Amino acid sequence: MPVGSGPFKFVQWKKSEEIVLEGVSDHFAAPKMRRWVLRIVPNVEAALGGLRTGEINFLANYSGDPQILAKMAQDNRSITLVSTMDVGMRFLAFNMRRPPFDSAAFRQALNMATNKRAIRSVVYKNFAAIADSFVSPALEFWYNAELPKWEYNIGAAREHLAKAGFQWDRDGRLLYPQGKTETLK
Amino acid sequence: MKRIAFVLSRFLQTVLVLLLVATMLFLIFRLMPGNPLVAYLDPTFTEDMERQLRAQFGLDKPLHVQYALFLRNAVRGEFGNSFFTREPVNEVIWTVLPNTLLLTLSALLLAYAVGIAGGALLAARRGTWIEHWGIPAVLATRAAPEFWVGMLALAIFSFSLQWFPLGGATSPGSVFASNWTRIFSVDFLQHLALPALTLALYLQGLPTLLMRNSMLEVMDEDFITFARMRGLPERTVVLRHAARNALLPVVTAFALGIGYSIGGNVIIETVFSWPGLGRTLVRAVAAKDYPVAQAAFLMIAAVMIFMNFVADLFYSLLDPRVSYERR
Repeated sequence: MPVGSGPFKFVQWKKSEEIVLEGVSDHFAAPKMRRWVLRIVPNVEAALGGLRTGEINFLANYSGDPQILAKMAQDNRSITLVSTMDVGMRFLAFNMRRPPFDSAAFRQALNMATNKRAIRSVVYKNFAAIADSFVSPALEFWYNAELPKWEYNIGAAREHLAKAGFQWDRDGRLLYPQGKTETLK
Repeated sequence: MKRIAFVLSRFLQTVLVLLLVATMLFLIFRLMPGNPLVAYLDPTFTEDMERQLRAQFGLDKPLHVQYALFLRNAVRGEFGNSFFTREPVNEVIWTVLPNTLLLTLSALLLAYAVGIAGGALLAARRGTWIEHWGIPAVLATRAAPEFWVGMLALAIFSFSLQWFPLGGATSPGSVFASNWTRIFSVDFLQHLALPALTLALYLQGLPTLLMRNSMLEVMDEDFITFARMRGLPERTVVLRHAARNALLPVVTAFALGIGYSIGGNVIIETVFSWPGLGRTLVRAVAAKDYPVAQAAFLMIAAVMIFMNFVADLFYSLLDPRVSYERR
């Protein structure tokens, strides 16, 4: 049975069903609710329907289309949508020990060739912010807004690569700079 | 004497098939490429620790020794601990097994009760509009995807009419004295209703059409004509004489259906958030939780094979025309 010092006390955990927590009333940050039941609902549409009928009071960890939720909140006065900036991020990491990713110019060119605005609007339906570092804007003390922004620009990416010594062959394929080879193990 | 020999030989066959399945399971899980402990190990483990763990799980022993250990543990019912939650596999399965069994068995019983009656009706009313509309309707229930029917049921009966909850096996935060009080509570029944009805709607296709086909064959037989000649009312002819004899294939299908039902139904369980064996098994396989996956597969295979055996016995008991001698 897990023991903690937070404002909630563990009551029970029914595997695959729910976790029940009880509020600790004499905690220094006492919660406003007496009981908190975290239900595991694998069916996203069922969760949406439950929110509409009132069977679910809070909907978190929502994995469906955020626009549906936004529209529901708009149409329904008893539903409020709260969205905040998270401290986490989605990123693509490279094995920097292997060419061509060991070249900083290549990585920067790749950054400029990735259309992050499209990803934000299509995948995240504008419920996202473009990241220029691993520090989220939610961490106001640490976030630096002055960092260089690598805007989506294929032409600039090509220029950057050319300056670093990369070349293209007749068919338009990218070649390594002089003297650089790659061995596949 | 012959009957006992028959039963014994069938039983030995059952045990042999089960042994074969267990062996295949063993080989699949151990001969797959990759490290079976990948879900158990942390990437920060050193080589030494990895080797120690492998020894602890007996993975460094020769294959035939591992096989003997596997069989011995399986017979004893010891399936180890889950890689995922570190609790005994028996507990993991036992928590979800009653839910699955109740859902699928109640759906099966309902489906077969309705199916047998419906099939008899369709056969007795051959050529009428009942048959013309009935058969496409039954086929439609069989062809319609379960998740679609489930979502429709949820949308109508749960969200619009609010007669049933959106899912789960019990109300959130509910506490019961024991598993038995939980299963027989009104709360559980209310949660069981929608998934069981949805599953029953899908399952009734088989018994309906099977019963209808079987009835049509039986109704052509001589003894039915004789019964009519004797002046028996049509209802007695259909129910007492035809339907009873037409039930035989349906009974076999029912026994086999029980065997299938233990596997759980992942689709219904996901749509209705039902905490059952199907979802647990899928999650165990996805998370490479080998002890749980192995134990669940073995259990499902054992029940299926056993129900096959029961179906065999039933048929030879119910139908005296079926001989149990070796030809």
